[in-house]
Amino acid sequence: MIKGIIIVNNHGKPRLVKFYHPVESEQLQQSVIRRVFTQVSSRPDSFCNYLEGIVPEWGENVKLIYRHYATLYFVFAVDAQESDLGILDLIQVFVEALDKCFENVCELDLIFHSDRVHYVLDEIVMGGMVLETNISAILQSIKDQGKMATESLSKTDDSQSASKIREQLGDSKWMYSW
Amino acid sequence: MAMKLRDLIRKVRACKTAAEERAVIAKESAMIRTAIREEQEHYRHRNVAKLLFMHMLGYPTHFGQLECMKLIASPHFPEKRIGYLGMMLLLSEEADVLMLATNSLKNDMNSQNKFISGLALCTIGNLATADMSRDLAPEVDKHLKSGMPYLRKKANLAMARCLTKCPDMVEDFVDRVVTLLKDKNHGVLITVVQLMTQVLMIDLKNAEEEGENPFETDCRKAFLRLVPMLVKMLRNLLSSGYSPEYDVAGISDPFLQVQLLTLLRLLGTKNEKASEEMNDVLAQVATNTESSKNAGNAILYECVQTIMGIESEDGLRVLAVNILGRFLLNRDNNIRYVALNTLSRCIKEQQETIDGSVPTESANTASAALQKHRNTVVDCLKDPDISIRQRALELIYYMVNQENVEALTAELLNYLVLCPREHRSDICTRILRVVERFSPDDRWRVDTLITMLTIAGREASREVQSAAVIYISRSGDDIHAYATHKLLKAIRDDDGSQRGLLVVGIWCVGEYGDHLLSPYSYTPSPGPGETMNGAPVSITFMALDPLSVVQAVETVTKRHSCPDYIKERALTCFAKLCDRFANKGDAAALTLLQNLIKQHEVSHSLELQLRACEYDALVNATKGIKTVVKKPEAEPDLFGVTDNGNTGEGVSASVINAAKEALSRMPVVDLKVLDKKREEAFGDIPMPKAKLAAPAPAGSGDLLDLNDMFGGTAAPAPAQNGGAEAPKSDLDLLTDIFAASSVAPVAPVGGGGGYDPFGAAGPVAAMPAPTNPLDIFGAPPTISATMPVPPAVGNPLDIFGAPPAAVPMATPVSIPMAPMMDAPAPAANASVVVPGFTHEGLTIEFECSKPDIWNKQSSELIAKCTNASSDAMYGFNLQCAVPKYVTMEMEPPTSTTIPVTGMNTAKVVTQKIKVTNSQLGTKNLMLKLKVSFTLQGRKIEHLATCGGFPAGEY
Repeated sequence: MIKGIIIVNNHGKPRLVKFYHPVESEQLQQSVIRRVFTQVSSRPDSFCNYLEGIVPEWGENVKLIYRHYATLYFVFAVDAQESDLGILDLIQVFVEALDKCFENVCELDLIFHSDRVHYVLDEIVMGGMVLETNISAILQSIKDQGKMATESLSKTDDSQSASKIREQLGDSKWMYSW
Repeated sequence: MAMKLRDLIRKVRACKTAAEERAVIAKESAMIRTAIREEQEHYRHRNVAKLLFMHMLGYPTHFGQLECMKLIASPHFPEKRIGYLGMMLLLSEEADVLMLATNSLKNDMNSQNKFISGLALCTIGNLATADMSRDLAPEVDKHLKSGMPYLRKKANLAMARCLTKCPDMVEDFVDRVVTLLKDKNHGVLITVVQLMTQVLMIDLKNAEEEGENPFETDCRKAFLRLVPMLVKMLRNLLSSGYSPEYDVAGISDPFLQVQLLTLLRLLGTKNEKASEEMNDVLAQVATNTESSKNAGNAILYECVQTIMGIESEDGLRVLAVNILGRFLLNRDNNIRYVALNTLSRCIKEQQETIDGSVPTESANTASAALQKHRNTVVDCLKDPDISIRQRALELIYYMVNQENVEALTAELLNYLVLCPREHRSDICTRILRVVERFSPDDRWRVDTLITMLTIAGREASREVQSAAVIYISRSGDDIHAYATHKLLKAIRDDDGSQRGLLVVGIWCVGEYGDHLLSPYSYTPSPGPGETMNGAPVSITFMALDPLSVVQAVETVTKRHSCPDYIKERALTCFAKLCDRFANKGDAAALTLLQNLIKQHEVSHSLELQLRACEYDALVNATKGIKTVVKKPEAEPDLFGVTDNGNTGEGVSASVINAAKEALSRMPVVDLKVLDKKREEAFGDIPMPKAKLAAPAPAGSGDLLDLNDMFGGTAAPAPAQNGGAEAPKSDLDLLTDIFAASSVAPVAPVGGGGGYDPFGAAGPVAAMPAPTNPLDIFGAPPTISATMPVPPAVGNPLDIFGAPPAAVPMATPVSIPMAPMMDAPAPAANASVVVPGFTHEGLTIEFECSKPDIWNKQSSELIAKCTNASSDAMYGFNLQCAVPKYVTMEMEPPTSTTIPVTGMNTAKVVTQKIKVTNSQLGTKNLMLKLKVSFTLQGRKIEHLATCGGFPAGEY
């Protein structure tokens, strides 16, 4: 089981936080993020990508498996049942999917479109288990859902509320934007 | 007007301080609350999006939970989508509002739109509570049969969640799972396999809770029937072309392969039949998988774990270990990490099975295969990455056996030098375990322990220190001498920070100080493997004189940083040394010892003061001098001695004897004490007795309830007096030794002081002098050997005497102090004169001596220049060259002008040269000399070599 996924940047600012194993209260969640960040950031890139048993909130035997891409750390917290090397590939799948989805993903994309990052993640991991690893399938469903979002607005063109939503969401590039 | 999410993010990012950020967020939170209160539904989705952002930064967002509920009920997909996202992130399963979502979820799952159903399933998979699971399971179940793979895979994982939340539903569900495996879609299969894995885990837990055999449940039986199918699926994956779209680096769907292997591992555990069915395909995976890419390695790694987890064939296990061995050589740190991790897990499991039952053949072969990779593992200890080092360390502990113990312990000691401080204590304890179990001989054991203490004496735990003392005391006299010499040298070299070393060292110096007075040398017999290294290096320690021994310990206690407990031990050491050096004829040392003890009689530390007084009295008693407590009326009785009516008694011969015995050599510590202590402290399984050095002496170690080995270890000594049987020492061990000293010669009295005397006054054992040639009592042996000791049972001897008022006169027992003032000077200090050369009337001789008796390698040469010519020599300049293994320091000559000396030694010009021969014993000191001077206006230069130094000494 994957217990949680955290993306933090080189300065410890969280860019995506997803807990599959619930961690109650914002304070605890922040302390988890801080703890993960201090541990991960103190290791040079040449070191191995595993860290063991340093997040008490997730219980014993939780391993942090992470990868460092440019300014971001992608950290997966997993239990003993998960394959150590397999998760590294899964992180790669996630990053590649983001890269394709945003066309050369950078930290700013994650900041301003965190909802989309979550949508991509939800197509890959669900309830702590691997849902899909085929990148084209992931992208297809994201694209279809995006299309559906615009269509659902155009269909109800006449209603006043829809036009208002469209007014706020309408964005040529992302189909909607806040 | 509320701002857009984008603007909020920009604003937050522009904040320079945390306070500024908090202010921005607080303002925005207030706006959102207002919007929520005013039911501004057009802004609802935007507000939730903002809340998601704030939530990520750690700000409270609970007030937005209901908004999510409203959004998921919206007919618009974008609103629904953000609503579900908000729900998954902002709500936890404990949230009360979650129940409100059940109905919306049910509606959405029935939606014709696959994405809307998908959102609902995803939410269930991430968030469902037990109640929701029960309510929604039928809906999820419908989607398991959906025509769309997109929904089937989500339904599988949602179902896994529902079953985890409601384990009792598993039983009804087993049949359904079995059919799911027939799915043709490749992407769905990975979720099915995960669902099966989850179901198996739940089933395992259920069975354990109900007390059934977890390997005999209906569910497992049903799944076991699927093993051939799973095997076939894995085999299909291996033959390429099955599903090109799931290829990762040329390997078809590594994720599915990994999941399949995990499931097979669960099924094959403790099941011979299933394991047999898997053997072939596992071998195929292990041999055919490309290992140049991470994906391939992931499969191999999982395969190895499965092979180790199930009841696989020996050949397969060896293959698995070899794959891990290959991983160890990989340059990728991750691969090495998992290899180390898996190896230590495997070897641990094996050792558990070996300990538990008859060693199996397979375990042995796998271990043997592992030993081949020993050097690789050892290399990992030098890795800069701490994760890898820790793993390697763990593995090495498990790899140690009788054959490789010396090599591996050397590596562990090397690592001890390098590792971070906080790990040292743990490593010391582990090295101790290794040394206990596998030591080839006593010398090696003691040697290793001392080396370990010199490296990490600061961090070594009390237990390690105790064990070192016990093992030293258990070994023979030869080792005693060796250990004491070595420790004294280590103490002298130490800067006072390795406290564990000081504790052990001071104890040994006190206990075996007499050995220090004689030189010690040991030449190891060359082992079969050592012949290539040339002659074995012999170990030599020089004899020391008592004064320098005492001064060495004194130096330790004089340090500013020296803690009280070391001073306490040093006091005990001094008291014992009084006994050990008593007839060595060094009055200065003895006086110094007594002064050192006395100086603490006014110490601020009660313990030190108490000890100092008691030891002083004890030492005096051995000489027959009665210690008088001053001002008895004014001060409370320091020694716990009350007026018990022994009014007429003085220091009798028996008291002297008792005092001497108190200071004499400790009996060997019973290993049971060690085991017992360890059980108390760590709950460890005691080491198998057979592996330990010697059978514990018969005695009653169990009776000794000792809090601390140093706090008066007392093991009954074996009865050495012929037929006399050692009586069980069921004395109250906390009885003060000074009060209860029944000194019948055959009765070894285990008596420990209530305080912590570090062994000195602790055990009082009857060790008759004649049987123990090295037993050097303070008095000439004849006294202790022939002294008839009155049976004093029931009449506790009071070596301090009763309160002085009642004592008429101490019986003086004179003990010859043997003032050997004409003791020969130690050989080391004798100087040798080596002729240098003679040229043009100039003669140079070297007077060689060893200034530092601790360091044989360094010597001091004094070049004596005599001028036999008729005129003075001017501008004298002596230059020396030495071989590479020698380092040299030269001081300037006393004069550059050498007058005509003739026979007048006062005019001799000298020059001091200090040399250190690092290869003493194998190579001799050589000097190349170049001298220049002016004689009668002629400039004279001369070259000469000088190699006449006594071989082996310089």
